[in-house]
Amino acid sequence: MSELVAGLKHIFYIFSHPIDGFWVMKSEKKGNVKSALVILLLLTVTMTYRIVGTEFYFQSEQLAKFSFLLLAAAIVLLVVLFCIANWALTTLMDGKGSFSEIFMMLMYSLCPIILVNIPLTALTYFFVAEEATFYTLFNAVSIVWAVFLLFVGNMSIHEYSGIKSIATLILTVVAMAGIIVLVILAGNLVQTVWLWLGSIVKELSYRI
Amino acid sequence: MKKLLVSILFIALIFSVTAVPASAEDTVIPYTNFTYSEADGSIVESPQAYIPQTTVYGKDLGIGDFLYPSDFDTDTNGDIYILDAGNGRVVVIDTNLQYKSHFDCIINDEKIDISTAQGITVTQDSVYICDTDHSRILVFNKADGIFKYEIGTPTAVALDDNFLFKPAKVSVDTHGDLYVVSNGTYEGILNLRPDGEFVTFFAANKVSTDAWDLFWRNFSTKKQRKARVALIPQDFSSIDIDANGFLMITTFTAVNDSMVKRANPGGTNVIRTLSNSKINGNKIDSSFSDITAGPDRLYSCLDRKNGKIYTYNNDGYLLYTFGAKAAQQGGFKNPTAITYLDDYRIAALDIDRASITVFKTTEYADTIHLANKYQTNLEYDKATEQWERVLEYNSNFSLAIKMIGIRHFEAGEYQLAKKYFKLCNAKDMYSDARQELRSEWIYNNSWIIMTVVLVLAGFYLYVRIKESVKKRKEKQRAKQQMRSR
Repeated sequence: MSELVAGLKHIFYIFSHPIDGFWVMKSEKKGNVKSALVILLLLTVTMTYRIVGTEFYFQSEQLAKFSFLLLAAAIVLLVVLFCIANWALTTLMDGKGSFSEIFMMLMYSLCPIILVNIPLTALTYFFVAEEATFYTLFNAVSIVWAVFLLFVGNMSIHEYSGIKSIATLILTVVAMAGIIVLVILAGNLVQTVWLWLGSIVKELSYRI
Repeated sequence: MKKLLVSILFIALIFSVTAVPASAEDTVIPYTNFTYSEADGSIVESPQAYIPQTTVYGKDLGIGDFLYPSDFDTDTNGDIYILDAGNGRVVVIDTNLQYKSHFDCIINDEKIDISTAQGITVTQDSVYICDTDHSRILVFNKADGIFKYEIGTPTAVALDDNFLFKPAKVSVDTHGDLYVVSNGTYEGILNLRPDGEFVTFFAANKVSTDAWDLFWRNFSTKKQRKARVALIPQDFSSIDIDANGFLMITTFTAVNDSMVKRANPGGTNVIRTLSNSKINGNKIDSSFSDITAGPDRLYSCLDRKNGKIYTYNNDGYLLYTFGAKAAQQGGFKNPTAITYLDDYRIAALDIDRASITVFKTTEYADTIHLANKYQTNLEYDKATEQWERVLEYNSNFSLAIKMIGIRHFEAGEYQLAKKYFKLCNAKDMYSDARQELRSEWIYNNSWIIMTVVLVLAGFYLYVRIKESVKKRKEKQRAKQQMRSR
């Protein structure tokens, strides 16, 4: 339990000292996977709150079409995909980070979004159309902050230079897309083979 | 014997009951009414607004069948002038569809061929016929059908030497100026003086293209560019002048998502499009081929492709739709023209069936019309009453919800207004209502805010003073200690 609290406390150290924070996370084992999992849960919950709880004026999508399970699946899938793609790439590109470090780094980097979600959603009940700019601004700040943390974290745990970190991040996104395509293709293939086997069995059952 | 008589009588009774001709209400209507939701643009099924009243063929009038009747128009008395192009004549019937008179198109004692004529318009004393393929507009005397004069291809510096004059539809304003839709002329509506002198092109459509298209055009060869669709503005399909003297113009394809323009006397498009759905029929493949301006600034457009009629109000909201391509009464084969009769009735002309179908309103449409009438006359309280009645018929009708919301907003009932605006997805108005509610809340609760601020400030001061007193005491104590040493 204390381990978990220590891991969560480390987030705030990362906020104030990003470069040192990620380095300490790696070298002195300050972070842990448990806290990262809690952050993943928090991210899903706060994103749900944001989509469901936002004031009508600021809602962009149709609430009727919202599904919690779909959102949770999408978030978990993207996180796993990022970790796999980043790990596969950095292994080839002399990265020093392990898989669990990549996972922790990603989750810690996404904390600004969690932090902004709740107050921003609450503020929409106070804002009217003229203040919509603030809404966009806060939203943008949280995303920029998260991307910056991702960049620094990627640099620290893999012991990369700045440019190499940017390059790996971009390639990671490309690899994620590639993996999605491959998975869809493989799924298609499996389905086809399954149907083929099924028809063979059917054919045989008619003959015998 | 008695039994037989009774049974015969009984059978006769049954037959007499079943032999009553089915009225229009009893027959199956081949279409349904729908509008679009303001929230997400989905289709909202609505009660029937218009039902077919009668269908009239030429032989019903006792003058033989129509042959390719291509257009008709009503005059100020409500008489309908039908351009019976194939027979080379104009048939006049009154507003109850009873035959009044007809005249053949005769020039110099010779009956002329106007089988390709596409448009007719009636003014106080003249009948204008667009003789399309002969490049002329024929003007006849309205009272006796005697030929007055013709307007040929206009000549002007602004016009090309090989300019093709193919008048399809014409409208005449109160000064006698002509506004002519010419087939294939995309430069604009031709504005002509009463004697046919060319004045100017009017209300031209702008070329619509996007950056991406222009980008690719840069890289294509001349041959490729030729093969592609030329970048020219959409040409016009129909024209009508409304009660206020504005020109209602339709195009076959949408210009900026809208197929209808309302041109002011300067030629500027002043159509109001407050609805989230644009004025483009069914949003997929509609093509407006005729427009008719109705009472209370309503206008109805005919989608020739799907045989549907769409009615919009002054703000560009779709009120209802009716009509279909079908064999039953109320269905069309190839409708070419529509026009308003009295009591909001709408007559539609079918060129292939050579018939006129008259549609009459239902109670639902009557309520909408009444609400819209009060709305245009700025009698908002009465209008709201009617809009609420409309909601009883069709609780999903976005326009009614919005109008009631606006009424509540203006009455200062922001909570209610907010509710209605949310229902019809009027986000900006919804936000306005919330803003009013917020300022109301701040106004009513300012004493709480002020109290909290004052208490906090007092507490802060108290802490600061306490601290400074403490410090002073400590200093004094330190001094005393120093002295005592």
